Amino acid sequence: MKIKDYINKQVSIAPLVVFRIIFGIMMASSAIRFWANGWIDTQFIQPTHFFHYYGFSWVTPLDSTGMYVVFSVMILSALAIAFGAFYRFSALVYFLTFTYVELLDVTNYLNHYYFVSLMAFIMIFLPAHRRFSYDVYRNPETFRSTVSAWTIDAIKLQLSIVYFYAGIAKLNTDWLFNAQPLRLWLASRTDLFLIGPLLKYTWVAFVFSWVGCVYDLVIPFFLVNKKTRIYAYIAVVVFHVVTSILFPIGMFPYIMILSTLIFFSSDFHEKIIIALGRFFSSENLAIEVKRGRINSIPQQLIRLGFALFFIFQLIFPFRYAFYKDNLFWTEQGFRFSWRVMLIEKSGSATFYVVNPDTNRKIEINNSDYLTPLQEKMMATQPDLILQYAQIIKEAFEKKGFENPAVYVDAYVTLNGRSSQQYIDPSVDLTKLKDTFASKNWILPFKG
Amino acid sequence: MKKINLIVFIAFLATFFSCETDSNVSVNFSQEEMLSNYANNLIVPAFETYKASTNSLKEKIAAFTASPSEETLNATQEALKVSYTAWSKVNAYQFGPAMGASLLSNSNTFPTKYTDIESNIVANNWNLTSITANNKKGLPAIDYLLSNQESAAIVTAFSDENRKRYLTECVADLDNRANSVYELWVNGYAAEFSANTGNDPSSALSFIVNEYNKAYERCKNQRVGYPLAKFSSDLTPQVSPMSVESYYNQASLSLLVSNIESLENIFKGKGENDGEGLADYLDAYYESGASEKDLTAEILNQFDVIKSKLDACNDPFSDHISNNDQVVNDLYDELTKLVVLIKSDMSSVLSVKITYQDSDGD
Repeated sequence: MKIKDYINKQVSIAPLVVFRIIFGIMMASSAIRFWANGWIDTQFIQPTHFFHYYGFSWVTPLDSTGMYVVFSVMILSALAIAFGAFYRFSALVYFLTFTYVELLDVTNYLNHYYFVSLMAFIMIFLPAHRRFSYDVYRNPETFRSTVSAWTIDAIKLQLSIVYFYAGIAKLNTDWLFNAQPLRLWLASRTDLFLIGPLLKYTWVAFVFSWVGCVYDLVIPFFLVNKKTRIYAYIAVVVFHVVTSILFPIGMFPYIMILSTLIFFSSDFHEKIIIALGRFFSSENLAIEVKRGRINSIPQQLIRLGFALFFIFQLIFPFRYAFYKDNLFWTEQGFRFSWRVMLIEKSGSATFYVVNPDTNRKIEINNSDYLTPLQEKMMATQPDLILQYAQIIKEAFEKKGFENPAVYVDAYVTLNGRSSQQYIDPSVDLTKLKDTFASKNWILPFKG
Repeated sequence: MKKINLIVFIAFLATFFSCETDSNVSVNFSQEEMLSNYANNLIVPAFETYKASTNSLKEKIAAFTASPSEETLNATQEALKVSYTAWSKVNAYQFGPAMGASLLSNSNTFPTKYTDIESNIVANNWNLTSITANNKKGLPAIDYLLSNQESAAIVTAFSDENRKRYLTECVADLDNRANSVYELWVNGYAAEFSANTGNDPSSALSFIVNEYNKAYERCKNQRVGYPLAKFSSDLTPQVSPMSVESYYNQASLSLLVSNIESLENIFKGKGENDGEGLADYLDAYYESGASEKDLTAEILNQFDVIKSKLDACNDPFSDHISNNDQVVNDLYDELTKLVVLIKSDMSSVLSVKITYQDSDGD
């Protein structure tokens, strides 16, 4: 039986080991960069209110010291992953600390962070520490030179999903036929050295849009194919270097450039390990052990878990099909779907509180409650507008006003269009609850 | 490789066929030219004027404290009006050197806490460098000290040495900050600013657009909204005429007008000469088809509406506020409409995030 053959197929562990090292180092640098930019303070300590992911309102930030401790633990565990030290524990700790931080405030959401969370989760279950690691150094009988092929393919599949789904998401009229939002974004970079003068042309935005879309859709297939791999990888490098020059996307381009090395052959990774091995005299490359230690979790359970995980990954991004109106406008089903760099959206939302007994109405100064980043994100996302109304309501109830009503006058602009009114201004937001049902209080998109 | 070539080729073809009509249109605009216009034609001259005005205010105050009389007092009051007006021209540039010097909070936090000023003077004990001193110094404190009662009574009050010293320290602090910010602009920052192209949160464009929005909202909220009790925190709005800008001098309306005019000129890029500004930048996007509407026209039109509402107001502005006049409520509504255009539409076209908080995007 084919599936059974596949599941039992053994391949060199080398790609998995190299990926572990890359992942650990990149994640540690990413967290250090976050710290160095002062973002722990601005994103988790300064805000007085936080926006929660649906169902995760119980995740709350620690105090200042606590947050720095969490980041320290995150950095240490990422380094431990790189070194293969106490691997499963470290991977679990990294996954938990990273995901905890991400769950604190939805206004920080980025597809990249979601990707990291998923990858960290996958890593917990892969035997990436069975060679060239502190764990093997400590405990030589855990050494393995081969692993099941699916453990490496799981990483390839996750990477492929990110690309391919990002490509599908680009198949929309704004992207393909209006070259938006790239047209707006590129036009603001015309003073850029060398390529700047080109960016002012509309046709350049069209070329970028189409090439970007085709790139995302085909790159996984060309990376898998041995014949085209090297060209595909050159494309990966060029593509991500260009995006990192043009857009403020932080570490992500470099994470992708290095992660996609996983598609290369085991010989290639073998060479990397040998090259790295020169720095670590203690690594005994010749070590051979007949039998790996039995895994604490039954392999079948892990395989079943992976199957379910990927089925979910393949289906979940399409949930937007259940909602009416324009996805970019309502953002219902937008997150966790690899919709990367698809919209230029900006909003201005004025909230009003009305005392129902006296009909007195006052305006809210958003900066009294939110950081500038939170305010910007909130103004264009309906579920966050609702959460903010709740924050205001609670603040006024604390002052002793019973049942204050909260209304919003919100205007949003999408991909170069004029601003349109976003939320029904006659709806008392405190009477609404965020659910998975269609939000009929979002005004229809006029196009 | 053949496959890649083929797909890329098809993509190119499809691109050109799908957008034949406008594919060669371009956004013809130099950010660098605009930034240099802002630095050299608007910002540096504005800080120069402001600095000169505080220098002069300091001299007039020195003359007044040396020999208090209605004549020397009058001269300080006139000089203060000049400084206030000059401030309205630098109000929107609270980034870079001004941010480093906390120019805004040290120079123009209003309403001033006059009860504290009086008790400080009586106790002969104050510290204007403390961060809690922001609402006891700067232009609003000087405004209070120079105009809180009839001229003759003020002259009499200034026989008190403590009062003299308080006023002198206030103006010295104001003047020092004005000088240092101006010096930083001319000695390097203007050049750095002009060369800082791009649209990320640390770009000059982002500074201009963000501060423009903040300055506009300050105008709307602090100069009109708060006095009108639009933001009253206790749901029982009580107008507060004393929280207008320059309450004692009764220059509130002319300062509001000056602020709005200044914001309109900044939008146009108009200083001593008319150069490239945000308006021209938006035009370039509009002409290329990248943005759908003639935003410049809409924004300028809304400025006209606002100015016509301002024409309907008259001094003293605080009287309009105490009466909760419809005319000033109308003004507030029209001011609110412009927020959407500059905060949502303009920032979106220019792809500038309205936030100083640097962060990664997708």
